[in-house]
Amino acid sequence: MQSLAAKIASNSIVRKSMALILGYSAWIMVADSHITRVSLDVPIYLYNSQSDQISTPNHTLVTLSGARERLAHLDWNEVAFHADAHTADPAEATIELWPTDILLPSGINVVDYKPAQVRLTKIVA
Amino acid sequence: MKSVLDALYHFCVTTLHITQIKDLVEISFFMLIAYNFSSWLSRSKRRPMLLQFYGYSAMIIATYAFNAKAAHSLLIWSAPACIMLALIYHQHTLQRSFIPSRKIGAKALTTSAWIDDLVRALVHSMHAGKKVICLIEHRDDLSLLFESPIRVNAAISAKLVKMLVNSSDFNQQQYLWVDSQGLVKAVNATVSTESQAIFQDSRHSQHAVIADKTDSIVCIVDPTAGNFTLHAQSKTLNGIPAAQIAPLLCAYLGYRVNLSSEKSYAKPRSKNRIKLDRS
Repeated sequence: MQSLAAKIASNSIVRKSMALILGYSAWIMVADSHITRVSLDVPIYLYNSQSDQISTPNHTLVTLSGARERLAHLDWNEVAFHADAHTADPAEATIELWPTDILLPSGINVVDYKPAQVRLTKIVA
Repeated sequence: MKSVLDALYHFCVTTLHITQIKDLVEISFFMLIAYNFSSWLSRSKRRPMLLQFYGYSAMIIATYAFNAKAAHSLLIWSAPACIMLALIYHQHTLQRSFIPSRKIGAKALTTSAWIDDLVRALVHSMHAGKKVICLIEHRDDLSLLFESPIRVNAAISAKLVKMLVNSSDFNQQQYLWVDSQGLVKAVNATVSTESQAIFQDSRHSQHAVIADKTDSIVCIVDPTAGNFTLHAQSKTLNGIPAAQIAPLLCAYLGYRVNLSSEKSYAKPRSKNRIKLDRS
């Protein structure tokens, strides 16, 4: 029985498959606590706005940094910019986005986002 | 297309925790180490430790996956000690790689006629009721591993071997040391004191270990059973009749076995040797 198991384990395909599993597992164990970066498209939601107002564009590309494990458990559908429409520049009708406008769990920080300014436009009926 | 790529990226980040290309390079590096290590372990036929390696790795992965931090830490911290113990247990493979040094400037084999003479003398000693343990040195240099009080260094001939074996000084429990160049190197040879540890194995005979760790052949004449035992290339062949011992020695020493001719092992393999024969 043991020799059969040893024979199976010595098979080239089995060794390659095991190397894949072991290599990936070892990497996960070592790298999970390391700080890494990830970029994602985040929607922009306006509050204190008129019902016919939207931001243009309505998404921004955000780069986040944090432990790999925390980033992996981040729910991407929950991440969004929440911009106050009252802070819009009346002349230009633009809103400045701030890192505090995005709600993130602790341990994850905003590194960069583009664009940093969005224009308010009215929906034409 | 963009949505497919986005979904793939999302899967890589959330499920596989892979965020950058360099992560794939790192994973490949770990995989390469795991594959080479497991390949090295699988090469050992006598002490396979591949299953133990997979078992230990599986325990580490399982404790990590189930967040058993104490057990995981214990396994990680004790890993170096376990590796050291495994290396000691597995030293057979390590020793095989570096202990036997190769003979420098050894002459090419010119003829296998000496095998005839040797086998003839061994068969004679079998009929005379004498046990002979013949150590045939091949390319690995045994001069530092064996010692003998009686050095001969003379060309093998049936008469010489018979005379040595029939001598009152001949010890049947020690080696008749010959080499594959057709020389009787010594009689009453033993493993040198410094090399005792190399050839010690609780599970296998010293002859088997010698044949395992070097490319030498140990041929034992058993007068009671009337046959030969051969230890060569990590294999042990028991109960070989006298008629088969010479072709087997030829095969293990790299001579072409020619069954059609009267002599069953006439010519060596390489072209150079054939030229030498013709000249």
